[in-house]
Amino acid sequence: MTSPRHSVAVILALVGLLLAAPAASAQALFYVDGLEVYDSTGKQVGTRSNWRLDEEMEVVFRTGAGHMLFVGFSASSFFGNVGALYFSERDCRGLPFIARSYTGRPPTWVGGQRQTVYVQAGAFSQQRITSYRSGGTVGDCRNFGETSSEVALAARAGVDLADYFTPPFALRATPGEPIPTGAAEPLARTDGLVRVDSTGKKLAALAADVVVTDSGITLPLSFLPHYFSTVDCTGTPFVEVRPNRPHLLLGAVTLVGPRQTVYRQTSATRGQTMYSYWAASGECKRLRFFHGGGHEVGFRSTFAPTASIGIDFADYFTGPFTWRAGRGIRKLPSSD
Amino acid sequence: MSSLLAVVVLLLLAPVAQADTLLYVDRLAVVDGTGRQVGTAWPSAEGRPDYMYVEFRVGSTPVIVLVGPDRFEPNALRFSDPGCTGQALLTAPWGEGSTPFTAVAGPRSTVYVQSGPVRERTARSTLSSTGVCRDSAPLRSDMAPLRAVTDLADHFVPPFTLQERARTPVPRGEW
Repeated sequence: MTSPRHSVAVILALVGLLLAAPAASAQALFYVDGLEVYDSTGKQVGTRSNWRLDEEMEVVFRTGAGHMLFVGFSASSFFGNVGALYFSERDCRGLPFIARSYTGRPPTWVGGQRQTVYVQAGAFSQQRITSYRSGGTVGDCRNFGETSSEVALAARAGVDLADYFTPPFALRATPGEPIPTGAAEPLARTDGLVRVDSTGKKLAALAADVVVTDSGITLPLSFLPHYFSTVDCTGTPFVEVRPNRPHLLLGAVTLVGPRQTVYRQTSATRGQTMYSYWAASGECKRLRFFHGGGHEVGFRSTFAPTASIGIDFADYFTGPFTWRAGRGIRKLPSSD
Repeated sequence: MSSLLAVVVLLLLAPVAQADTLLYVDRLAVVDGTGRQVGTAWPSAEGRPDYMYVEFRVGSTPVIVLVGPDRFEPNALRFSDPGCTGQALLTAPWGEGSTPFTAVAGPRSTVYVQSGPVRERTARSTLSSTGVCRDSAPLRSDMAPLRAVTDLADHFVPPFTLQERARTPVPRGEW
């Protein structure tokens, strides 16, 4: 038989547990030690060479001959940092040329079913070009009126990426330490650029700007605003995402309500209309757009629905978030 | 005969598609003309051919610098007094940033770091990104004060190039 003193002790212990537990989160959060791209066979695809988690995601390789290849990727294929391979003659014949990349990298073109790679093989100069082959797996050839453009002679890098990797590609995070629900800890000596909250607590490194849940969901920390298809901010929150945007390899994420509850995209994006949103002031506001005829319409775009994943960000972090440079970043040399 | 010659020249010029190997890259860095590493960040820039970002820190403040093949890319600065003298200022129309503001300006690529809050301040001259100083009527707008930290020209010598280290071969396996 249980004594009254024992019952009180049990109740006190339960109360203590409840007070110590995170307020509402049903899942734990973990820091991430790395975030890399893998193909469908589990092979790592290159080395991520920028910190973007959107359509500009990029990996870098080097060939045995010494060419650096900077290659973007979607879930299903690679693409270069130039959109087209130009040719001196019609129908993509004659000498191939490559334009400067738009990313500050050495230009790389990837195209065709074999994902063939072309790189720069000469200096940039004005050249006569009359046709081009677009990148991607289709790689259509198109003719245009003869024109002059600043391009460089291109050469096959001797590598077909299809020989190495099998799509679909996916980002995979390596979970690290659990994120405590308490106060900030000092940055590690090796930390580089890190996102921190208003108490100085680390969220993630710029190089892998995500956290992971104990059920294995990788959450990008670039949270999107959310909208409602109702006029009073009720119902399912939606996020605006463009179709085929590769950052959806991780699923779009938004924070909802005063507890900053994490909502994650649950299905593909489609065209629809939103009518309300929560303003920064905490008020529900109507999205008011007016058609040319004068009648009011909502916000028409491509949206995806979201659902809660059982984590309140407020249990872990206090906004606003900023960036801090850890000692892994080189100190600016002093002129003294 | 001339067309035959042209074909021969084209064939000689045409790139040779020899099979090559593919390697994972362990490290990617921007180095200066002496081989010294400039900053520690991954280079990255959008819409600026041949330009890349490198990063440093002043204390725990990140300093992100845009670097081209032959120089650090300068920003336009304003100054509280004519002749680009007095307090250096940076226009901040959207208020405080997510990190303190930083800038690079002047012939010696001087690095500036935010030294006070963004508020309405008065500028009387502007140093353009091309290095030209112009006096102007007093201009009031939201600006951040800056302090000079160091001259990058004392430490790094152009040209700046990308350098990688790659040792591990990527195993083949077709899709």
